[in-house]
Amino acid sequence: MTNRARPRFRRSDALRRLAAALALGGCATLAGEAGDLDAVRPNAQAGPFRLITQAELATGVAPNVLSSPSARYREPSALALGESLVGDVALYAVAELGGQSGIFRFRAPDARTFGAEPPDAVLGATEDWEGGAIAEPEAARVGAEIWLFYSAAGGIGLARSADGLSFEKLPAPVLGAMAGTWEDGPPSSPGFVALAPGDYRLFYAVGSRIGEATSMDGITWQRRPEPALEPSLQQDAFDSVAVGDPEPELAKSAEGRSILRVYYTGRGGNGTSGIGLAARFRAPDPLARATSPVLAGSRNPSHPALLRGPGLALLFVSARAGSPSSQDFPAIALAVAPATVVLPR
Amino acid sequence: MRSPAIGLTLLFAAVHAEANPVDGFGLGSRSSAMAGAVSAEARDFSANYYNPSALALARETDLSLGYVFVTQRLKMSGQDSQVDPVRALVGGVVAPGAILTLPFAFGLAVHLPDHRLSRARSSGPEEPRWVLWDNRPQLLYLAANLAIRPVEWLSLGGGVAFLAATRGRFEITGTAVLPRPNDSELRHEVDADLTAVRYPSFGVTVEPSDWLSLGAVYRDEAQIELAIEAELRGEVDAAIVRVPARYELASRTMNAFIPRQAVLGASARASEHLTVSADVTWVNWAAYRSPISRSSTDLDVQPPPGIDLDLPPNPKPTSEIEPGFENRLVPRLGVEYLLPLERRVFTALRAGYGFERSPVPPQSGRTNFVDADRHLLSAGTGVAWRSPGDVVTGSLRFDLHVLWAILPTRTTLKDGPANFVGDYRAHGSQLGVGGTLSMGLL
Repeated sequence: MTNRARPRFRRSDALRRLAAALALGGCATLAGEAGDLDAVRPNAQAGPFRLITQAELATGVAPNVLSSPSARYREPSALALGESLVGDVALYAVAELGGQSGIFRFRAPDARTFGAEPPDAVLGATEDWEGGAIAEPEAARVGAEIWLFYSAAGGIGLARSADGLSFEKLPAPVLGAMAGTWEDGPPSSPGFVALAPGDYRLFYAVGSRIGEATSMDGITWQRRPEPALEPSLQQDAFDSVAVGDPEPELAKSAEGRSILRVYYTGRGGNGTSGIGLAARFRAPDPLARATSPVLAGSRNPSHPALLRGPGLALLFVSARAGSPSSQDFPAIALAVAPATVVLPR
Repeated sequence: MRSPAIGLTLLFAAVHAEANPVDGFGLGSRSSAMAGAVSAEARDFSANYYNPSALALARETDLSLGYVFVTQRLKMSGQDSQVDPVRALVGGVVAPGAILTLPFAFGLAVHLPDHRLSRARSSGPEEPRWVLWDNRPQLLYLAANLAIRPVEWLSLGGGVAFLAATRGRFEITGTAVLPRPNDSELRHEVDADLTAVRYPSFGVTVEPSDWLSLGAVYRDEAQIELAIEAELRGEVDAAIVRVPARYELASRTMNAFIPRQAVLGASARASEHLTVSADVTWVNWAAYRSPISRSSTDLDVQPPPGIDLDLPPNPKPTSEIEPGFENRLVPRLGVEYLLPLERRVFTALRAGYGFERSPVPPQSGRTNFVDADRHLLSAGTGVAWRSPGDVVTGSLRFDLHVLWAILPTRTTLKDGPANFVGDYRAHGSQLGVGGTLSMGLL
């Protein structure tokens, strides 16, 4: 309160009392770590991803969930079979098993332990247009069916199944080579997403670029005239040489804005590769790149396959099995975002 | 067989400190209860911050000691950001006197945190953080001022405010044995100093009449940088080969920034019991420097010929991103009503309001400096007992205050659809309480 009485000094007593008070305060303890380091912060869960650690993997050598020099597991596509993202998961991937090369289905009860059940051979090359080999599966649940797009010599094929095991192929590619456009060869690396029932998008790679097509039934596709994504113009970028292996997903921002994200493999000038992210809000907009790759490193990850759940995203990739020269064969590794999330064992 | 081992030397040097808590939560219960609208009205130790010239208006030696506690419930996307509370002892002294016939006063004020004396926090450019509220209130603040009253209606004052800063060097030398950590021989040395960063403030009080008081204050800018340099030197001893390795890190961060401020205020005694005061503060937030660290690293490993090591490339050096803060005018209003209870005992009821429009521009790009507008509501009461006895010869006063700052929701929509943080909302509140005991000594 304001005090307007006349002054009279007893400064020495007063300063002694003040000094005692300040000394008392000075004895207070110093703090430990600040409390907000563990706070949950906004995160679009779009990346960056981190490779899982050994503590998050029951069997095998992290971050690989499928690894064998003879089987050469690669080019995964993931499908959640249960409610939980870290529950029953099917992985469609290319492998060489039992003297047979083709697309196999692997299942894991925890999205990581894929060796628990023997794999199922689901698709091999049977048609003339396939040229004797199929690869790069892309599985998606559409209505009551599971659709499996795949790459072959003549373009992109489609097989459909009611149970995810027995597939029936369409006799011809749903997307073949088209002359007279920017595309200089047959498309490959299909990436499928349903924006709504009857509103489908197929991203694919041709050469060093990614194209986009639209369809109402998944069978008849209409190409967009220009590439959806081209190599970066920055010479030192991780994707300055080529982009491919698109993996699209339809997401919503925290404010409810629809976002079409496309994960992709970027290849740089020094022979390395990483997983990039490009996205757009609306269809006419071009895909805009993220500021940095979502996953990179000496394992040269490629062929991203995404599974998303509440508060968590899993990214399966083809990657070099390990650093030593004896580990120079493809394997399937798992990464997680946000990087702060730890997968329960 | 020799164990794989690495000999290392780690050198670490840091300078860090934080900024002014008094800007956000006030100083002293009387002034805080009036929302800080006291540049023309401060009469106790809080004048050291609000207007140093007002020290010369004191009529008795005044000692104050109090405590303030502020809890911060600041949220992003519905999640509590766990921003640390502010807890501090506050106190000060006002010692009036005269140099010949010239009225003169000396003042001292302190805000002494009982939780930590300083804190440093550096983060990446994309990490969302309450940039004005995580580091800024966590420090030791000290102000010392002198004031004179050359004529009856004019007071002049000024002084220096001190902010706590620590400067340290941390060094590790020795050998770390990778497969048998217990065999490692490491030597640690810590050398730290508590230093001060100083910035001046000046004030003028004009009393053209008995019922009107005018104040003007200038507080200068202060910047505190955090600098870290680290070096790891050694050899990887893997029995067959020894691989020299060196790793260097350099990082500089603007850890705290106190903007330059200019205050104009007026206080009117509307009646014998009622005082109304108002302040407008210009805050030079446009000069704010980014708290994002600028860092560079260099990993140099020279394996012998024939040894194939798979090393990550050196990351690109980070650079400062212009924060683009904007200058702000902050209005504050305070009222005090004095109510005599008996001849020597008075009570007071106080209230205040202030509005701080956020200086942070929309964070639609890469950075995530989280902030929101701030409505500050305050209230308080106090009791004063004049000449209570022989020990306290002047007056004995006890004041309480409560402040409630409301930060309404601010929605951030990112321009880039591939932004890793994405859209979010931020809002929150800050609730503070405090008390101050003061003694006037005649």
